[in-house]
Amino acid sequence: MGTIATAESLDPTGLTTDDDGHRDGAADQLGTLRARGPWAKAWDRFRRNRLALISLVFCGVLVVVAAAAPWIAPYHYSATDYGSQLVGVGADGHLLGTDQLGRDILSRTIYGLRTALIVAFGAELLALVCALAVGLAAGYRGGRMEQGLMAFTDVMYAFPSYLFAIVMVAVLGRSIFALIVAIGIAGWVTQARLVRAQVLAIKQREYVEAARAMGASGPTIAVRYILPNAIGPMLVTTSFAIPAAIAAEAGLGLLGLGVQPPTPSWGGMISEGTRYLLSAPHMLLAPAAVFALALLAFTWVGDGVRDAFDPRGDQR
Amino acid sequence: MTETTPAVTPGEETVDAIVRAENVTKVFSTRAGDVRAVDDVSLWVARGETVGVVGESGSGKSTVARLLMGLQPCTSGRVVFDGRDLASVQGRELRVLRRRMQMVFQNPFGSLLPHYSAAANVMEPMRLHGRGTKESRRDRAVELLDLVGVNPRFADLYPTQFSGGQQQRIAIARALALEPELLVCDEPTSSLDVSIQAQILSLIGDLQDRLGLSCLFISHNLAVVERLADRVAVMSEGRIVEEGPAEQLFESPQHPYTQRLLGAVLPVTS
Repeated sequence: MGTIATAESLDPTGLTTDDDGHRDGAADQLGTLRARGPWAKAWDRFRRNRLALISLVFCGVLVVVAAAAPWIAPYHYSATDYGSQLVGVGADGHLLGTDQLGRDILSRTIYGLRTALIVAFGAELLALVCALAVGLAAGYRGGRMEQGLMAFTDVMYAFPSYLFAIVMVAVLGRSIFALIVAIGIAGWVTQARLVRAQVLAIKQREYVEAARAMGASGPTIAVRYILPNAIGPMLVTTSFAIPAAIAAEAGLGLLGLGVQPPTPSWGGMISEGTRYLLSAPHMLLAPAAVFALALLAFTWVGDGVRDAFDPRGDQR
Repeated sequence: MTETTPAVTPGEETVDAIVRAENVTKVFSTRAGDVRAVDDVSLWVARGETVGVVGESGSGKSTVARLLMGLQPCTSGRVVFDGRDLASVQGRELRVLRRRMQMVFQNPFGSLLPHYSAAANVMEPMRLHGRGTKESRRDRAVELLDLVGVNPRFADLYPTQFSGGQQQRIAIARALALEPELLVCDEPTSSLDVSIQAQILSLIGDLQDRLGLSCLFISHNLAVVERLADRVAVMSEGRIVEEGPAEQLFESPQHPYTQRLLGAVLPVTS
């Protein structure tokens, strides 16, 4: 159990608690004894995973770059430099070259990152909120509500998610909002089923009955006692769903269903790049490389989160 | 089974009972058929009294505890808490009533909220029932932890950082936080080490004397019940087969099941 001792081992108190005799020893060792709740313990385990920690830092950098894109990017994403079209990597003023319209690839990759992260985080937030609401309601209430909600998720589950995303984009138009809704709605179903399974398992725990005996109401039990204990495992699926959503956004961009040009998306850039594959391979390489790195980093973070919330994690 | 119903103790109706179960039956419907967990049980706890319920595992003791706490509805019969039929009290009113009855569960590892610190666990019932301010609740929680023998220095640690015995102490502190009139203990020591058991039991006995609690104490361990209870009910297969003052019951058990149960106890040498 790591370096954290249990209170009992430091304080084998008998009934005479006001006896200071056996307190002193405990007090000496108190410096090493820190309060570690479920979250702190998960963080302790996550921290021990070097790869996940580095990936988390990298993802943090990506988020900062995406947020500060207007200040970091050397050019606006649609600014064209007619003197220098399709120039290669390392050209004067264009570190990663330009595309067929003379737009700076580095700037477009940075703005593409911004699009990818907004869509991925937005979609996952939407999916998580839907999944928690539906899964919690279904799992805690049970009965007819559960049957109805689960039948609904079954129907959603049977629907091919890409097809659904394409329909959503067709209906809502090619905006970032449409992509968030399309990818989010396509992803929440599996998560809702997971939340429900978690809630059903936690409902059997004795502390839920103890909470009822204390006089807690149904909503209090569901939101304050069950939800916080279900959310850890949910973070695991969410952290794997984020790279999936990034890939889905790029995939839709590749199919020409991404954000409206000229707003850059990695999928769209890669798709354009394939047309100049032989004459200007740098057009494809920069977005593809960043895309691959981002996916890898987010997946590794997901791995770390999964290990951190592994119920057997303490035994290692 | 051809058990005779236990003779009604004289004066049953005149006793000032904090809680009274009247001909309570609980049937669980399972895939294997209906199970009569509790069969026509009548039991009461007078104010300030400690009633022990003993029996083998599966005899329906824990179900009786849950029925008395109103955590499960009775199939038939009724549970009356301080003159009010629990089945007729619902929702908010029932939650308010719960303030006056608290329970200590069998498994301390499972009954504390894992994401709350020890102090927060003890504060939670007070918060639910709107007692005091955040600061006063915390002061009270630390006081209670001290009372049950948990070093207040450890108040901010989480349940998993404590041993089983310490967790059960925290659970007892939590049950006492609302100053209940009735404390139901469902095998509070059965998952604990023998040495810790003794500590927890003398703690409960001590608290009863000091706070004047009414207490329903459930155990499969006769020695435990003998030590704490004023009156004992023996359960077998969902029925109360014998009931009476603790001394009398342990000295001259009338029912063959009670005699067997007493005969099966290993001599305690420690």
